[in-house]
Amino acid sequence: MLILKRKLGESIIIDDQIEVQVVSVEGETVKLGISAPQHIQILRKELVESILQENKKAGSQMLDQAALLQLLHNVNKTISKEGK
Amino acid sequence: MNKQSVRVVESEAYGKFEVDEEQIYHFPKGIIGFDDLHEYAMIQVEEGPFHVLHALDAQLSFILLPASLAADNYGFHIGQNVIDLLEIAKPDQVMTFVIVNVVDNQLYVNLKAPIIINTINHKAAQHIIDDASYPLRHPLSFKEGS
Repeated sequence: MLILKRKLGESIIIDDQIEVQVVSVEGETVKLGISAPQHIQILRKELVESILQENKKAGSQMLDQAALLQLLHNVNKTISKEGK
Repeated sequence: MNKQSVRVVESEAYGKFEVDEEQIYHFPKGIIGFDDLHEYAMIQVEEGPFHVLHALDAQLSFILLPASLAADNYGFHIGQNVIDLLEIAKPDQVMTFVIVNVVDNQLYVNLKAPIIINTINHKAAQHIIDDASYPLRHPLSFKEGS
């Protein structure tokens, strides 16, 4: 990992196209301004982490498939009733 | 149409089944948490709206539901990163599914990170919606049949 010291208002440039600027520093909170091309998605890491955990949980349920399929079967019936 | 079965999946949960090319989807970036798995088969469960998305090369599967059935007024802006990744040219090439999760016998759907599919080239991705109003667990409930 590269570690850089930056002062308020200073920036770093990543790969000629992404700029990260220190906008403000208040106690333990640092506000960053990020300029990047539209095709680059910028996310808080804890958001990605929460989705990863939810995926792991959803993906591990195949072992309970008998119960799950029964549940789905019941929901199927409800949905098809609704659709009519 | 090539109806020949092209792959055999031996699933611990669903048994051994064959899938043809039309059922196979390629995830260039995998699914979040499973970045190394790129090939999945999508199989409809009975005649209903649910689908099983099963990895071709691993004991991993997800239950999917078309997003239109998951919640009222569910809509979002697909990011340019996904449009580029899936080579989406027109909106009508896109299908959106949500992942079903079961917690304490209650069905939930993940509205925060739907699965986006390009129906033309069969490329797919999980898209994160960076908006706090889209829940990770939205309870799936249906009005009681009258």
